Amino acid sequence: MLKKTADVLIIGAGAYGLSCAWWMTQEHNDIDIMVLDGGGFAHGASGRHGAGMRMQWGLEFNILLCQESIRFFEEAAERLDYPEGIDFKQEGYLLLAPNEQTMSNLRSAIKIQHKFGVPSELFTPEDCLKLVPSLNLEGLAGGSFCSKDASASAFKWLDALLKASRRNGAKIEFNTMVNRIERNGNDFIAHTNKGTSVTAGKILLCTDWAVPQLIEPLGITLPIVPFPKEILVTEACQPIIGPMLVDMERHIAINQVKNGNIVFTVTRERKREYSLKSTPGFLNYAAQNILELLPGIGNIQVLRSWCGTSGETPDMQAILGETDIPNLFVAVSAYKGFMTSPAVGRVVSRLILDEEKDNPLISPLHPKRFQTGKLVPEPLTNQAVTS
Amino acid sequence: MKSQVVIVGAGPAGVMAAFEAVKYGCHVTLIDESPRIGGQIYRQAANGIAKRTNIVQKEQDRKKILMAAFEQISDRIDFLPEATAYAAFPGPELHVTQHNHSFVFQPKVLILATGVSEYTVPFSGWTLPGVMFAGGVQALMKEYGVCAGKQALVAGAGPLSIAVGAQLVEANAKVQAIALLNPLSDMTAKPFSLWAGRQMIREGFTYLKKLKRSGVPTLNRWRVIRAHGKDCLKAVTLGKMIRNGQAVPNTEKTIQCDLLAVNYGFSSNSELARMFGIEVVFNPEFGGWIPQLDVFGGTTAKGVLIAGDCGGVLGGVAAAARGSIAGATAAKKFCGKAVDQTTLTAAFAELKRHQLFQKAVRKTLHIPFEVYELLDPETHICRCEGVSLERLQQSIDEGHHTINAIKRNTRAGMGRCGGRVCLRSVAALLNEKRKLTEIEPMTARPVARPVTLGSIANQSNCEGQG
Repeated sequence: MLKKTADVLIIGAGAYGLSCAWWMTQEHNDIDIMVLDGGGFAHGASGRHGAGMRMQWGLEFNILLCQESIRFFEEAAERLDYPEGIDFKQEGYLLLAPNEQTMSNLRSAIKIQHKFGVPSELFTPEDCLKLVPSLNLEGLAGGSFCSKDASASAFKWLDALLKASRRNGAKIEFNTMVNRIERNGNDFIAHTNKGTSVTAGKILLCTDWAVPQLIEPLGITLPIVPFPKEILVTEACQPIIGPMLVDMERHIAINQVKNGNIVFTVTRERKREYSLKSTPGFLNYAAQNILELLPGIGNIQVLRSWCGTSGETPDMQAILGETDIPNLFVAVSAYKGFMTSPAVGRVVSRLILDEEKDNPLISPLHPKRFQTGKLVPEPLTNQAVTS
Repeated sequence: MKSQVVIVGAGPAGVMAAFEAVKYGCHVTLIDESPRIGGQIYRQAANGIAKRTNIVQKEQDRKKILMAAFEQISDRIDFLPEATAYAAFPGPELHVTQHNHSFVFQPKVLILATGVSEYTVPFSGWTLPGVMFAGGVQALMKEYGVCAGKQALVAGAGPLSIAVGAQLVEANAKVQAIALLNPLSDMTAKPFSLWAGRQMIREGFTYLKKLKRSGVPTLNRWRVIRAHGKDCLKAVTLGKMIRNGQAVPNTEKTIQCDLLAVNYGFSSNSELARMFGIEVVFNPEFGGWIPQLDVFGGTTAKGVLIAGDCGGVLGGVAAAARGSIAGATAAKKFCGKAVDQTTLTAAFAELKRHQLFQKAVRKTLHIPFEVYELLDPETHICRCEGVSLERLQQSIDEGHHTINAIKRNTRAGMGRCGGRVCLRSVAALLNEKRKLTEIEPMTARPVARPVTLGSIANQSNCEGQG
């Protein structure tokens, strides 16, 4: 049996896992970082989302994490030495409110956002129409807009992190599934499906919805359930939707990416299970809702659709921090993994390497909150239903 | 539109499947992307376009027989022309778009007779206007009476090049040459197969004679190196190679032409089959990712049968036989009808002949890996997303070793064609680097073909189960 060692073993090569690997190897020359992933490149939730990033949130730490992250994304091509770029498109995010209740949520959120210098503004329906002329104003109370919000290619972001981390010396292996973690004195031994094992002083779990199955045998429970979501993408067409659009009632996020394809993330109730399967009713449901919102685009062709599963937590917020077992850490994103990965990578990697304990950016997201009951629900979560 | 049997594809397999199922009293819906039945092989002339007769009389006769079979049943089936099946789910459930509508079918049995797409080895300049798939050139001639060029070069692997070359001559194009990766004489390695396919061989000679009489040279073991031109094709450079694909130095020659018809074999249109989770096996000479079938066309998916070249390339005659078998199986197994054994026995005998014959044909379809190695690194392998050979090789070298991982890493296969054209090439590159024989295909998900948001939204249910 092949035996390997690492100072820190990261399980999961998605946005969080790779970002942490990059930050650790970027800030330390003398550290052995290994990343193992059970699937191929970008197979998990980090490669299956709608690729938007916004700082328009209602909670301080979400605003700050995204603000820092978007600043990083702006310079990602240079900072990660990825010359082809990550298809970064910064034309803002328009959150659409169907009623006064949501408008008032947006209004209170904007007040908090302004404290941190987020250039967000409240929009009337007419303002929305000016920005997105193809929008149907029926049933629209208004919205909120921030020009700094953006989108980028999930694949290129992951590829940039992967290449830069490897250049920094991180060992990253795909198709190597960690089946079991065993405690061995102060160390951990991770056993893989290939019959190999890795001895590590510290472990960071970045496997999203699959975290519980690895830590429950160690006596730790975390309330994370898998929730599958489906997405469709159209052919490339002329730029018709500048900003990312989020319909807070229909639970649609729309992203016309840099090369013209329009990506529609349409959330609807589905069984809480791991699934990559398309469901029979999705395309019709999605198309009907999309055309209610954007009635003029019925002639655009759908090219593909896909499904991804991410982890849902009781407050729909990330879980970041050390577990009850010392040196065993978790970083579970709960839907904001891509957009927060630059900042979370920085903060979590410093936490793991004992440089920054109790950073207020992530302390509210500590796994302990499910024992203390201090949940931190985010008022601007765009989610169809919660379990 | 209640139907017990829904058939996708109205080529020889689909039409014969419909014919058999109707014969035993099943209610059938037959759908096809084209306005008329016939598929690619028996494509009919568009309205107002003069019908062309095939150079080969036998081929013409087979087309007539298929048309007559359809005529016999046309008033008893629902035929949906210009309709595209774009999604499939276990059940079986099939989503079909036609014009600005979509329909959901839940039949007792679904027969997939979706045929094949063409494949080409990419080369520098292959995306220039004037470079076309040979079958596409043929389709323009058959359906619209249009000859796609005045000075043509035909290149590729397998027998289609010969037929298309002869048809181009017939359409008054100057055919400069036929360049074949493997000589047709490679078929003699399988003498029993040749005997089984003697009728098809005879037909092939008719095309060859036509080419010879017109002075069209056949260049054996020549491959396309690059296509030249700025806005459209002006010339093609060919190079000689030896049997294992290695280039013979200093043999390059450039031929002036405004049309290059290429075909390096076929790829099964297996997307719908894969959406049902039917297992596929990768076999480049047999049509790429081939769904696994039993002798009746049955699959592991409940209520799903496969007929014709979609289940592995055996040609049009075998497709008709496989259609008959699937149609009778649908009637017997899924609709409880008693079926007549004699038609089935004849169809099985025909199928067997072609299974044997195609073993010889496959000898001409082999593409040595060296052909890919000789490509310019900047050649686009995925033309929809503009992914170069160099980028793909880098991705493989970085440890991305499945089609899905390479697709996400490079975007190859994410464009309009859904990977039908490029992923075979990606598989070839992977196969060589990793010395694998089993290559998992890309995950198949809706939509199988591009379909408008409007028609997906405008959906009606066609409750099935007759």
